[in-house]
Amino acid sequence: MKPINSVPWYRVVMTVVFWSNVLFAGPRMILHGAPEGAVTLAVGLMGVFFYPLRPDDERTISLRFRAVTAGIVVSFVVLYAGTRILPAMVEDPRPREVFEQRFGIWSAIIIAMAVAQVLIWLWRLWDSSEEVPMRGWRRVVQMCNTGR
Amino acid sequence: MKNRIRELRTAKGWSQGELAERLGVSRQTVNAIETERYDPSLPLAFVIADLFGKRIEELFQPGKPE
Repeated sequence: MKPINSVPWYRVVMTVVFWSNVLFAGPRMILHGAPEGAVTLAVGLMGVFFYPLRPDDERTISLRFRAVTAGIVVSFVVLYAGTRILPAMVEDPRPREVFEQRFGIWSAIIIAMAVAQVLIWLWRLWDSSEEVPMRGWRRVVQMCNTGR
Repeated sequence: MKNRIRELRTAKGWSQGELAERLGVSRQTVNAIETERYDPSLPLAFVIADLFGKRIEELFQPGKPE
């Protein structure tokens, strides 16, 4: 088999299998209540996030670290609010385990990786754009990121 | 930190992508450095200076961008 645009055929096959798993098999299994779907999705998202496009690019490394940190924080806040704060505010005041959901720790990894992925894409998009005067919330984000 | 990377790159006739290839970083990183959103590490600054045949202090000046 000939390579597609100089990419070896086995990499094309692996990429198709990988994305089929992440986009279709994982969510489908989750919808049917199978915990393996959460594992598939979490591992897939981690694979996408940590795939070394430019392993020696220091800016990417620093942004990845920042994005993962933000993702973990958001994930814990969301899960904590969903399992402790919200139930206490409604009818059932019993405290629950933070990871008691059907998908356990994998739900935390999925949320963290999804948030990190979105952040890294936004930051890379911002990096590739020309300097434009920023206003509003974008200016706040810029000040948080750069301190100026 | 202010820098003269865009000026020197355009003088050489290189695109951001070409400079990124020579530095071993991504094009977005080159743009982030040129637009002064990101200050490169000391090793990368030495590589940039070496590539343009300048000293680091000729490329980078302390101070906030205007």
